Amino acid sequence: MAKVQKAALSPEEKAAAKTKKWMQIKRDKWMYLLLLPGFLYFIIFKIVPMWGVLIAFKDYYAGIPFMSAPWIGFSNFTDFFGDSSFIQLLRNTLIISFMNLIFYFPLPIVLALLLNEIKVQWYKKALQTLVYVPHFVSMVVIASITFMLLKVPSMEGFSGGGLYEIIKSITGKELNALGSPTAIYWVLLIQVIWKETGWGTIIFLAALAGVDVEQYEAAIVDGANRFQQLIYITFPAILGTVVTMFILRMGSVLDTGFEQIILMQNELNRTTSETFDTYVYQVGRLQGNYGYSTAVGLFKSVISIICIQTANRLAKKAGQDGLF
Amino acid sequence: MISIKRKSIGDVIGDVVIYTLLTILAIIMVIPFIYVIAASFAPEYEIQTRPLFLFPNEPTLDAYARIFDPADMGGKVFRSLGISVCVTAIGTLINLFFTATMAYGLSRKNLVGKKPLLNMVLFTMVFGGGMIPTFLVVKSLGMYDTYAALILPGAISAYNMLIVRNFFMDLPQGLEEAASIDGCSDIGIFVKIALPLSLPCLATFGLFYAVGHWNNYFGALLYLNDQNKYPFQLVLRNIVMQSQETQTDPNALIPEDTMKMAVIVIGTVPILIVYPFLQKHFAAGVMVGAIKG
Amino acid sequence: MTKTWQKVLTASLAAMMLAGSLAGCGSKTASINLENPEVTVMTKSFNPDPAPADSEVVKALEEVLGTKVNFSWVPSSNYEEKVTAAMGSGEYPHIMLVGSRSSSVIQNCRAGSFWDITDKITDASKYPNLAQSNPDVLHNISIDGKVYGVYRARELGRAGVSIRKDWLDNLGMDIPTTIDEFYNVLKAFKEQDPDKNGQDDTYGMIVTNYLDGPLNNIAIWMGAPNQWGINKETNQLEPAFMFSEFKDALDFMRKCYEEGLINQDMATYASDKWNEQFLSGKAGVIIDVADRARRLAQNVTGINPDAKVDVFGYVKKDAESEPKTLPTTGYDGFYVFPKQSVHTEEDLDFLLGVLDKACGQEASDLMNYGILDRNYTIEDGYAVKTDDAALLKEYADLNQFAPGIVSFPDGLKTKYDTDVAEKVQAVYDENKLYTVANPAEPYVSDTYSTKGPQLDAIMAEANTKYICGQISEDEWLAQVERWRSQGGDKVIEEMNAAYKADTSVQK
Repeated sequence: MAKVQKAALSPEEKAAAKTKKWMQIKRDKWMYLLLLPGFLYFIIFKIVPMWGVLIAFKDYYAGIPFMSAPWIGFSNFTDFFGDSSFIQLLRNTLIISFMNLIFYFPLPIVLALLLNEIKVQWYKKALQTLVYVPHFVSMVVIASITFMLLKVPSMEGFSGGGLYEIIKSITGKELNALGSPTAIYWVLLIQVIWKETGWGTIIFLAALAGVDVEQYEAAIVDGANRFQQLIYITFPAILGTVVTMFILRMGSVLDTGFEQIILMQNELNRTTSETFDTYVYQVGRLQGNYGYSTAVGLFKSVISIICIQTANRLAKKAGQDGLF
Repeated sequence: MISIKRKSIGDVIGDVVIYTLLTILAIIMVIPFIYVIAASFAPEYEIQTRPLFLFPNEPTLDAYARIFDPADMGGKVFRSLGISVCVTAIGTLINLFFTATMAYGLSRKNLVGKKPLLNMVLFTMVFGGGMIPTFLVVKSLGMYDTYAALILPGAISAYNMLIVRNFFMDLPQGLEEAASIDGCSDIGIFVKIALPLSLPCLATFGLFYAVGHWNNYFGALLYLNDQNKYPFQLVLRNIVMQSQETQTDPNALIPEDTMKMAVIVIGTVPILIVYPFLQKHFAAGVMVGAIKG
Repeated sequence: MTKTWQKVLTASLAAMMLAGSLAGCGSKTASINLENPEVTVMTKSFNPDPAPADSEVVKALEEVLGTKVNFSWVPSSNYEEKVTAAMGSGEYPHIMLVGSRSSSVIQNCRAGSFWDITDKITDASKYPNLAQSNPDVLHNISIDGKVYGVYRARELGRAGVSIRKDWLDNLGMDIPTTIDEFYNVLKAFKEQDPDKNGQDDTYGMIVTNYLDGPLNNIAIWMGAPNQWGINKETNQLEPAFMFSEFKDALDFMRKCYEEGLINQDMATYASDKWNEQFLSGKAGVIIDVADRARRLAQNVTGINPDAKVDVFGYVKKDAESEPKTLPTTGYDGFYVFPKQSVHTEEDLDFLLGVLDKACGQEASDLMNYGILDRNYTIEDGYAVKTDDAALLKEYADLNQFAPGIVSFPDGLKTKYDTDVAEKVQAVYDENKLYTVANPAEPYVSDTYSTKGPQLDAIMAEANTKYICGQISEDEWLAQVERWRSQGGDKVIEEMNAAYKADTSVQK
């Protein structure tokens, strides 16, 4: 790629390369015109505000003129890393995020593959619409329904939530899912699965729809059964999509969001459920300590870059195209 | 499709399993929403005392009557719904225009300057300036308290743009070459060939963008000053989130749960109505593969 | 690859520096034209549709205030974000409500972003109404001893216990007046079948994951300080949980929990479902704010027409001891005057004059009830609100603007349809006489501003687990030590430094 230009070139060759470049630019002039709106968008709304990351190195509170806020170097970062709860926060964040990656990430793919097997078109469409519905139900409502389902009995002899009673009658276990330090991870995971699996299928269904029908016909002629078709045709066809989505997902490996967790938190599970996002929400939003929360955000961005790059490299090693 | 005359027993069993499984899944997915609908028709005390139910014992239209009564909340609800529909429609068109043009521009192989541009886009996907600097940009462009502030600062999602670009790169080269021999300029090819071919792809991302606009309350909260300009989600949120606030203020009005449920229903139904119309465009596929350099 | 990254980085850094140098120059709002004044106010709204600018009530209010008022209503659920954005961008109104004394508000006050009104607000000749501000509340909102805002007054004695009166009657019991009696009521609600249905299906008190409310009330009844107290031996400020009376409250609740007088799922019981088991007749006591009783009374009759809700403010430690009640801070946010939008002292005086008039009875009635014979009528000395939605909307949320610093004992009263609603006001009035103030309310600890959430979480967890019997007394004390070592000691130190520096209190 860029290495070619680095090789030593004679002046004539350089000039020739330059003219060739100009020729190319001239040839593609309309392409540049097409690029212009997007380019301006990124400069104005993404690059110009980028000075905001400097806030991480200042003792800055909204309202104090940016210039007069004192530079404090890395002390926002050292405060953060030196915090006694840093390891705890990191651990919780990674557990929640990796459980999400391992258990939630494959589900939209599986669901999309299953939906793809439905050949009755009206039924397929109806199912698709139904599984998208949870995406639009707000977290507050989901939390409140979760409480109803998993509630333990308030008193001996009272009945608990619907799901609590079902689990009790099947396994005999009295599961306190809302009040145990580790059960919250599963509760959060199941909420995400319920809310987003259906919506997550869209991108995979779109990819599946692009698979060439002739390939299946040929495979059927060759006597391939349904499972073999899935393994040898369908899955390879969407593998690129899966890899891309995975790499993009790695970019948000430290993002857990705050709303869902805060809604499910209580004193019995707080130490295991506090993450970077919930912490920044409290310190940054509620206290207005903007410098500190920007520092945490910057730390998360750096980790994201590393994760994306690593995932990308691994994908390339595994023979995939990678993201870039 | 060819018709498959003989189905093996394995296929039949497979079909039965898949159909049953998906039907059960769909029901599980939908039950909580049915509860929301049922609760929106239930009197307040029923929601307070009955756990999960799918049909109210004493159905009432009280909540909807208040929401649709023009003298009561109706004026606000209809105006904000109208605003949301307009912002969503115009916003989505602008999203698609910005996304498609840039994606197409970046899909040209050997374009000079493509690499730094792509890197800039990737860079902004991870690093961001944050709320206040973006706010200052919006304000200095004179967009504060205008609808433009809800649309332009999010005109392109880098994720979506990269995937659309990928779709353009997978379009058959031959078509473009033929067109350019026929004297079409790049813009002509874009409008006459690339866009029509990518309709399903644009429909998919149009849906993503549209849902994003529909659900967005934060932009409106930050950038709008005049409450008459508020979109529906902000009105909805104000009703749904209220209960957490009331502990601090005895003067606060406490919206009833049934009201909360009713506005959630009203906020969701438009998307569910629009969806089937977009769905038929998904027939052809969108491949999300590598972003080729 | 790396090279292009470098280019992108350099280019963006350059753009950043340029933009950074431009940032922070907020737009300049023009001075107020005193001939034909127009004032912008940013405040909270709770209604989805607050009073529109062309409403008759707003016009009448403008008449009284002597200025046009442009309200910028911000939904209360996201008020803090809007304030941060306003402060970050300099997009200021003339009068801005800030919700709390958050670190950013404190830093801005110190940096001089808002007008200091310490000397003005007590000037009775200029602002007869504002001068009646409660000195305790002014002290509470002060920052480094200076006052930067006009507070929105709230009921000080809001705490109250809702109770099933018909259950008490069934058992032949009275409203409890001491902790022992309170305990006996809880016990009887659990064991003596207060609903007379022949089944053991009731218990005493509902406690939710918002433990602080009930716990702090009981602690105050027991004689503990409110949040912070002065240790008499050392004359130092210490957090309430370091006092033995607080421990008494914990032990009381632990005992109640153990005996099943409190719901066994209190740690996970969502506080927005607080009313649920009260309404459905499973439990008969809620310690929260007195106005909760009003809401309970409204809803309970739909389920059980015989149910009666009553309310009381406090119980005493024992028959001999003085009554004590937990007060609120007495305010809900305060109005500040940003120097970026309020340029001259003349403008400031004018704005203070507007808020002063807003405290007057005429303005107050307009904001709370609207216009007489339009939005309400008077019957038997009570204001009866219209039930016409369009007319109610004309003054919706205007009461959120009202500072309400002056109260009018002989002014308008709302007619409620339940007896208990009448009683709620009586509870407020009585509570007010016995409040225990938080001596550290105005002080600021920098450590607390970054570690506060974490420190609070340590004690909240310890208290919950102790009451639920999951940890022993020694383990609870170990958590107190943990609180101290993780930054608590520093907070104590900073609070005491602020306390020592405060010349307005006698030590």
